[in-house]
Amino acid sequence: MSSVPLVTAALPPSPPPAAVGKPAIFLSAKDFDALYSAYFHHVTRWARSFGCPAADIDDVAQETFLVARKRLAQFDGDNAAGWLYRIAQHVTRAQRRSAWVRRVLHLDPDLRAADPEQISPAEALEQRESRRQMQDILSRMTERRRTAFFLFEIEGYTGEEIAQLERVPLNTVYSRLHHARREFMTLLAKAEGMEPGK
Amino acid sequence: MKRLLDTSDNDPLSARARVLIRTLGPTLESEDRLRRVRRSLDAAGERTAPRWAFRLTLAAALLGASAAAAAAAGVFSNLLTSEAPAAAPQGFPRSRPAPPPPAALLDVSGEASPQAPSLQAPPLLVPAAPPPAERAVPSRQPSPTPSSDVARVHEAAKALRRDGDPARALQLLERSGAPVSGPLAEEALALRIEASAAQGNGRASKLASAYLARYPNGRYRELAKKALAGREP
Repeated sequence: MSSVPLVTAALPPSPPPAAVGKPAIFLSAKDFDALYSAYFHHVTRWARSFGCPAADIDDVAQETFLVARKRLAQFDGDNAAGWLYRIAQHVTRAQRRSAWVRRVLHLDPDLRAADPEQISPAEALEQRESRRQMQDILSRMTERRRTAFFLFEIEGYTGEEIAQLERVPLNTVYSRLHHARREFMTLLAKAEGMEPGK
Repeated sequence: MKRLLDTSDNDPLSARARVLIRTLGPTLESEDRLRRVRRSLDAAGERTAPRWAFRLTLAAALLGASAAAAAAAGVFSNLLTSEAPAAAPQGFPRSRPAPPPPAALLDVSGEASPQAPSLQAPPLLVPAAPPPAERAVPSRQPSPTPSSDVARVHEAAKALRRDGDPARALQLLERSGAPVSGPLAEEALALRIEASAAQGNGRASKLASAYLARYPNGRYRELAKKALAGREP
């Protein structure tokens, strides 16, 4: 089975807040380009952490930056990552709801694209099964815990970075991670027919 | 706090957890995706450009009209005055100093900043910013969310399909008389047809006609045709 190395997901530094009145700072097309280049890959990671299907990540990223461009004038310059993260969260929720509505109406058969991989059929089957199990476990966790778990354990963000994105104290992040990990192990043990903690 | 991947517990559960985490793996950075989305983003920006152009034209027309009105007022007052001012050149009405630009056209970047607007990029014309005190505290949500219409359709679908409450679904979809727009506009209309048919209020066929006119090849045309034929969709 091929393993993918963890990507260092250091957040770009937030632009310095303006001293007086905190005017919007990303106002020109040039500044928007900088914002886009600095955060695009992070937005795709966040979307995935929020449970966005792989086939919809492009759409979510595009919509996130469309909303960001519209709202540049309202951005106060503090914590650009946190600001974009919130937008991506809302956009992903909207996307998920749209998919749900279409699925409920039974008229959108193709909600997910195939994921071609260059591996043997046996490996592909095993990976598919593992992914299915992982998705199943993650889908049973609460949104907050799942997001914290995904960002930390899978995407490789640090606790401090997650605190900055979620705009919560660091201890809150660690508490969520602690509970998320315990829940994850319990669900996994149940799925594997094992005793948790053994 | 260590990541599960960085731990070395040998128990089978931890080992299995590490396998699962590795299987999912982090999101790979794709320059191709970055460029693809950027192209779509720019294309979407071009589609919205005419709205900006329209606003700009409107603002220019208003400014021009106010300037013309001011000039006309000057001429008119000169005609009424028996003595023309000595310093005023012949044929040119004396005008008042130019009025300040309307608040709606203030360039935010030049408002509170000591720096002049950059000459490299044209300043964006944006609505006048709220006072600094209001802007200093960012709201917890960047809303009004882009998904408010999506949320309405989502709730309506739940009310209709899960709770079996077509009245509630219609109430959500027709709230304040504003039709649902955005990515689920078609679904919203289909749900209205379904809810109206379930209620038997006679509006289903009217809505179905509207649907077929708007989406002749729509995904829910069968539902609309059934409603039009007076059958339960």
